Amino acid sequence: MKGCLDEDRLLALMLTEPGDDPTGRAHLTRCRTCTIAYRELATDTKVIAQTLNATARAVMATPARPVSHARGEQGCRFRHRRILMTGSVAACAGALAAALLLMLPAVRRQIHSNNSRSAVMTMASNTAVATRVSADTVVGSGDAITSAESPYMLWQPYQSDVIITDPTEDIGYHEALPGTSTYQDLFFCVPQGDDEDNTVCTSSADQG
Amino acid sequence: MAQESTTTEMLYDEHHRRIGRLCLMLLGNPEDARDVAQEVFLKALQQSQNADEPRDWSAWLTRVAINACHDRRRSGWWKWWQRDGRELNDADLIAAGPEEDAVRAQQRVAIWRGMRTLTEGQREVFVLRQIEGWSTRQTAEALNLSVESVKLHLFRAMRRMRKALWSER
Repeated sequence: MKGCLDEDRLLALMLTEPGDDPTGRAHLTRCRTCTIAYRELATDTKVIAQTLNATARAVMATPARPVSHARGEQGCRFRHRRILMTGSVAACAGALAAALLLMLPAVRRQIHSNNSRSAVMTMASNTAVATRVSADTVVGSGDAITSAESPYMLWQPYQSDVIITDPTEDIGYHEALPGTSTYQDLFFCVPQGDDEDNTVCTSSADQG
Repeated sequence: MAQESTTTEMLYDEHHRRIGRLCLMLLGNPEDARDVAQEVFLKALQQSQNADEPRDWSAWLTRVAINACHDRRRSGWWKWWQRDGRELNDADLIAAGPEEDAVRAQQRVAIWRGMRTLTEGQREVFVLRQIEGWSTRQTAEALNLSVESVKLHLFRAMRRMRKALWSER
């Protein structure tokens, strides 16, 4: 064998059984440097084992302390804090679950009402489009007063408030447009005399 | 019955310190070490009532202690409990020797810190081979490992322990 044994090889030699690695052991008997290093290793091992044994003996010889003081004040505080934290989290989770259970019927009602509302919104928007188109058909033929601009229109599924007052034509009329609601009513408004405010309107539904 | 309790008493007197130390080295916690040592001797009492008594009580006790520590370390509540710093701390280690010997106290702390860095397998192998003085084959049989695994664990454990020792020097 050429050169000295490295530390790992020496450690392996020391930890293996006496019959293992005969080449290494033979070198160890001849090389003074390796022998010194090996002895140093053996001393370290002995120190480690003795220290562990002595400390364990001293610690175990000390009488067991009461559980509340066994870990020192800090340990106890940590432990109690942990228990408190766990309890708080559990309480919060319980309260949240209870609140959810209590709120469940209200949430269901809300969902139900939202669904109804969205249906009304769809219908209303269709109607609003129809109203705008209807109003466009009479552009230039007088004042077209529609409630399409009114925000309340969105909540009215019917177009019953489309009032056309055109003094030149006497009667404003437009037909139901394709795609609009079949419930659409048409109003026939007849001014009474010269006073435009005094107008009598009748629904197409009333006229059959 | 009286003879069984006498046997257990004798076993206790003869081995309880060694088993306690072994448990402390494996668990790193004096209270748990005492608990586990008690469990071990309870098992010894039960075993002494059986017909098939072990031939070598010393080896039997060591093996039972290793398994009990192993179980304790694996249990969930133990891991939870350990996070609160229940392990043997530096103050305990310094207090475990004469006050005037500051250098040795630091060495003790360093070595026990090194012990904490070992894996469970390395710790078991190290304790059986270096502290209890078991052979590689005996250790392998007790821990249900191959001889090569024992050698590897021991080699790595020793390297770490020496590193810990030299970190203090």
